Amino acid sequence: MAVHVDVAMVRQVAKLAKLSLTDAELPDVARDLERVLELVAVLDEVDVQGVAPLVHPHELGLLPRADVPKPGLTQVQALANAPAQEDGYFLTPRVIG
Amino acid sequence: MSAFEAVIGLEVHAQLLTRTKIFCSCEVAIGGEPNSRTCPVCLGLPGALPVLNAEVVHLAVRAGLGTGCTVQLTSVFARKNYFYPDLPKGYQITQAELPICLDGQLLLDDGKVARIQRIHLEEDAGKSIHGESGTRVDLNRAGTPLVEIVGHPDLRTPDEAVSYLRELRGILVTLGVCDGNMEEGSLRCDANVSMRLVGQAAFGTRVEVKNMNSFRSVRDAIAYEMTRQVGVIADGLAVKQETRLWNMDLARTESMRSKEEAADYRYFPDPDLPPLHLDRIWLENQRANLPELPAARKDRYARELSLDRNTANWLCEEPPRADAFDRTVANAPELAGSFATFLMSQVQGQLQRHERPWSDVAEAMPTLLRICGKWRAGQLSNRMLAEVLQAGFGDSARTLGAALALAEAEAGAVVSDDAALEPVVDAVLGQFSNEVSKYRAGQKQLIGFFVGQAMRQLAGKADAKALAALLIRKLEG
Repeated sequence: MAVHVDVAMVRQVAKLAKLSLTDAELPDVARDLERVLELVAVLDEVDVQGVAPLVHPHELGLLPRADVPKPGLTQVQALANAPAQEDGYFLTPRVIG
Repeated sequence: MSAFEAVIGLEVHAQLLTRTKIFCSCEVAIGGEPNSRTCPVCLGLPGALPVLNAEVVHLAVRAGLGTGCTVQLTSVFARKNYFYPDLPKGYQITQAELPICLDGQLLLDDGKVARIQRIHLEEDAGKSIHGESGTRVDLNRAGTPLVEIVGHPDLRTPDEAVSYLRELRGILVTLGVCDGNMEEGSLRCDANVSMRLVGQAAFGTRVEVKNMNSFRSVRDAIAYEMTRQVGVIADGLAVKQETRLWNMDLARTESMRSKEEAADYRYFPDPDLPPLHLDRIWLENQRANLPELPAARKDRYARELSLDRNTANWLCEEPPRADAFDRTVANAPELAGSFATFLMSQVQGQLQRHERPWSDVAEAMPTLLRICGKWRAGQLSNRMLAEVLQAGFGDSARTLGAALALAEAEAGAVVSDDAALEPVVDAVLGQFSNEVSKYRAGQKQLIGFFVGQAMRQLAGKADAKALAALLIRKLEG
């Protein structure tokens, strides 16, 4: 069963993904997304009754490491690619009052 | 108000006592230069992959076992997606459908059992500091390991919520899972609060209250929120589902400006992290090696030392305090009860007066036990005890143990032999002949007056029992 994607849904998804789409672009994106979902909808035909959900394709589980500190980056290195910085901090536009 | 009851559930975040972050080997510490403890993993640089810290698993399992949870042999990490400057990857790694622990419970002071829904592992975000020039971000804290302990909405009063939090904190500190420091934020508590009519089964609209950094704040914020919601309902309005922040200075909760309209975190399993499998035998070993937990310790104090609930609670509130107490009274079990009361009433007051931390006391415990023993045996009068404690706790030039021992030596011994007491007693009886007549006419309660007068003459350094005995002999003989 393919899902119907409307403009409002695209607007919501774009907002969550911090994408700026113009109103003119919305119908095209809606159509594209609908086609993607149609493609994936093939999977709905598989009978998965009694099959446990698979969260990861690997058989192997996590291999934890020992709790031993190792040196990381210096402050200068950490900030090297930041578009803006101030007194050793990353600086972003003011987020909240 | 009485027609309504509150439905309260707590979500507690506890910072795990590890040396390194949850998914990278950067050190976890307080202070230092901003952005001085980071690496490509916790900065969220492209291509960097998380590797789980084994100690994080160990501590989360201890937290689960200590709270009666079922530890899951398989758990899964998931991504919680949202954008905020202090979350470099654009998602937080947490656990969603398959957390590490499920279904625990805590025993509250009033005997009620409050259920724990789940405990899951997650990483902390960085710190944002909002200023004039913009928002400053420090990522030293990003990736610090946390457990979130989610309680069922089983609590009904602010006191129950505090009792739940105290019990939980005691367990986490005892197990070395978390240092339990609420002021510094290593233990953080959010409360979901809603009101409903007594007898009603459905829940009302809930409000999430954040920013409570002490037990007192938790109690006050929940009490405030209950009153506020009842007021809203009484005005014929609907309680709005929202997040509110506790403002301690103004003693009220305030609506938080929402970051985004409807939270839609789009959780999905993190493809970078395969499932976490625990070994059953390892898990049973963990269970077998848990230390005595606060609830068992309180029972033991009641059963073996006959401590009242209040004193037992107070000792167990800070597990290191109870540890030091246990060590100290191991060789003097007959003094345990009076020593516990002595610590709670006398020593606690001195610490507050001199603004000293409890850790000072651990070292001085043997000296305090000796002083308490002398006091109980009448070898130190009340006044001498007060002076010794005052001098000892006020002396910051040496360790508390040494300072107390010095003050104890300077206080000397109490005067208890009749030969020394008799002249003073005679003088007092001579001076207050009226009272002597009244006493002899039946006003026996005047004995306290005579003891007080004689004690004053002796600068408080007399054995009160010996003094009373001598006075009675003189008055009635």
